[in-house]
Amino acid sequence: MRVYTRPVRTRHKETIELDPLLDIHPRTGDGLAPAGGPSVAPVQLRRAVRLRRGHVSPASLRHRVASRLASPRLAFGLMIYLGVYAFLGSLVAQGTAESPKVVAWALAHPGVEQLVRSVGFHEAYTTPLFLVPAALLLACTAVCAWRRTRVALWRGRALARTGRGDVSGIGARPTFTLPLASADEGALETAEEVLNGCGVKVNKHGDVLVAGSPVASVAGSPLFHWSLVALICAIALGSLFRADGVMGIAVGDVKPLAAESFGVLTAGRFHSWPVPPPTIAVEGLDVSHRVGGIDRGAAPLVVVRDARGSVLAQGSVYPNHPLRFGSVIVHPGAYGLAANVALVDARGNELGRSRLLLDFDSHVPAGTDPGGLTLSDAQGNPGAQVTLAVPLDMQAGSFVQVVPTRPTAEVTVTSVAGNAVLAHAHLQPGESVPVDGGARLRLDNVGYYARLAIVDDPSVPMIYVSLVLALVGVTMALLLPQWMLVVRLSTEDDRRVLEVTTRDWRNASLRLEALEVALRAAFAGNESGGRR
Amino acid sequence: MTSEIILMWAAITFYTIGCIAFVFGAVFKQDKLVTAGLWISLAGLLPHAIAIGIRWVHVGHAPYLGFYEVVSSYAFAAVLALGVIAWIRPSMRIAGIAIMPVALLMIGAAMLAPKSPLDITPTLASYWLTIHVTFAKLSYSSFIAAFAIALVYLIRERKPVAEGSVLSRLPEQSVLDDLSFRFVAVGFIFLSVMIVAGAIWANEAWGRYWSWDPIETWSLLTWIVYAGYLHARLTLGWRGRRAAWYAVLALPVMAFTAIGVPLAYNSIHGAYLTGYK
Repeated sequence: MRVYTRPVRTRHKETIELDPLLDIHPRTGDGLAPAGGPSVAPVQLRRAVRLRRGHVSPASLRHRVASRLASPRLAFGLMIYLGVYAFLGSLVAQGTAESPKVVAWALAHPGVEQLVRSVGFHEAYTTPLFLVPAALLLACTAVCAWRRTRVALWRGRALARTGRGDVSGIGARPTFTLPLASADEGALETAEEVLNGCGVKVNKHGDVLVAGSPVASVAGSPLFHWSLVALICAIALGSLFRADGVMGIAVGDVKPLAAESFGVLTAGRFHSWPVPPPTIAVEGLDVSHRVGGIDRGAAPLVVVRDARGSVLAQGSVYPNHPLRFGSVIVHPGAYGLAANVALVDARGNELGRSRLLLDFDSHVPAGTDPGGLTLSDAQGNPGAQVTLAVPLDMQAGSFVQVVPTRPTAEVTVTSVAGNAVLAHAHLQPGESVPVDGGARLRLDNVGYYARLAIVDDPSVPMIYVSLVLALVGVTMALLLPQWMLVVRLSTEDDRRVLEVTTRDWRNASLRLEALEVALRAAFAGNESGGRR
Repeated sequence: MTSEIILMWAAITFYTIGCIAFVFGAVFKQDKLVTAGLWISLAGLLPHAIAIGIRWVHVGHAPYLGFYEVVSSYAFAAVLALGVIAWIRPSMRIAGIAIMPVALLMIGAAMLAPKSPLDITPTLASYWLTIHVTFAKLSYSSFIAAFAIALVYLIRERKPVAEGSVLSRLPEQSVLDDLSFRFVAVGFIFLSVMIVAGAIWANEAWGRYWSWDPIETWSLLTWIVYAGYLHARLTLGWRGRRAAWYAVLALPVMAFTAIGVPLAYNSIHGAYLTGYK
């Protein structure tokens, strides 16, 4: 809502003087008054408001758009739409078409799956059906924040001005008047005493008493709304610069922090990894890491180094204890086994090494999902296929998810076409199995690997700050009253009166009512000349 | 465990008698019955608190996990909220007629649930759990209190109140309206803190501050619903009956978020109520 502080020149070439301290109800155009007080909306004011809505300014398109965006009804409607949308979204499995829960949901709901898929509802929060209204709500919030800032600045200046005793801006019409006995010289002192007794700190400036909320009390609503704008912008922009993925690293292995090191990676359009990339190493893994008497699960010891080899960050990574460096956070994922193998020729010379990462799986006979490897010749042509699994130890009918006491690898070598088994063996560390062309595949050792969830999101600090500021703003806006009270001596119909002007801007109606009751009680009977 | 169950049943007994006293006091306009109902209900807080404490020591964590613990603690918070309301405004103790049946239903449901303790998992082992859950309980209690006051407002407005009746001794409708708004405002702030704490914790634990998990979505829905109430009141000037109806109709959304979503949806978040699967 707009508050006019100067005369308004309308389309009809008439000039309307408006009371600068009046607030305008956004619906009715009436001036707001404290409870029980008279309406202060003259006909001219109503007309000015209607004309304002009818675009009195040359920049009418801008005003029209801003007025629409500032409409509480539009904001209400968008919130209802997004609320209903979120409710419907919660009924549908969210994820890509290939994700297991989406597939399961589609099988369980064949009747609606076609419709859901056609509108892209499995990724409901990235479709235009969601993003466009959300963007519109962002625009509404921004316009609302702007307007609330202007109102807050105006109210803050009014509070500061009256706090200094400058009441020249107060409208001529008081909220209520208290008749005084003709020789009532101590009326202001009495009023001050009454207000102090009600717990209100009053400042006296000559023949005027002023009281009000602190100037900072008006900052809550703008702070909250601007924080929401900042938050939504941070989330939107952050999604363009964010990357998150999963990387498997065997204990003792080192990988560069680059896209090719990830097994699964989702990166925003503008995300890029640092060049030269730092390296991530897993230098140990505690399968059952206890902190504070609680088993935190498997905790890999992760070390991050820059290109020169200097340590950027290191530490054990477990739930609620990630590793941070810059905008990157490393979280623990699952862990599994890592089988290190080497390809040697007939003379025992190493031709190559590889590492197979094996996940635990209680539904397969060995307890680990088999890993695969394709051997190629010197020209890069694919040769034999190797499948390797490490059988786990059993205890009380369940697999024990640690490196077996005597680790072995069940190795199967098949031809390129996969239709002939060339070799099958159970290898212990140091043993080998023949593969193509006289070479042998040797099992060196079995260790652990850690699956790390790595997130690079530079927007997180801004999101946190926005959230905290929004909390501060909403607390101020909802709990701090905004009000003002001015008491001054005047003459009305040749009688001395005490004029009391109040402004209830927010959360203060009951307090001002109580003050009015107390003041009226204090000056009751003054028509007959008495005071209290 | 036995002593805990005995104390819980003692609390249920007190709450039941208190609830009956509230109802009879309101129906038969007996102010003393209403006062007795309040004190009996508050007396039930003692065995209830001791039972929660015994369980806390036994399982090694606060009442965070499992339907029994969580819903029992919600019932405790609701009765405590009644005590706070009655302390701030003694004439408001009649709000117990709305709060106590809700608390009784909750504690009854809790007693029917399995009581085997759940261990703190590595994901839950964080100080954010305490912050998140504490503000969740505070916000839900505040919304229940707002609901109760709004309900009383509507009941009193609907038909003339007999002189000398319990309802006639309540503060004016404008005061009830203001109180309901204040409880919604405070509940909204607590709810916002709960959501923010949850988002920060999720980022610490899983690397994503928001993943549209059903309980996250419904928490946001609850936030939007109550944000709508505040907008309607502060911007559109809704007062009195409209605001009271809004506060009453908003509660089922909050209740579904707190208790319905973990039961109806398959969510990792819902494990706090349904246990680990």
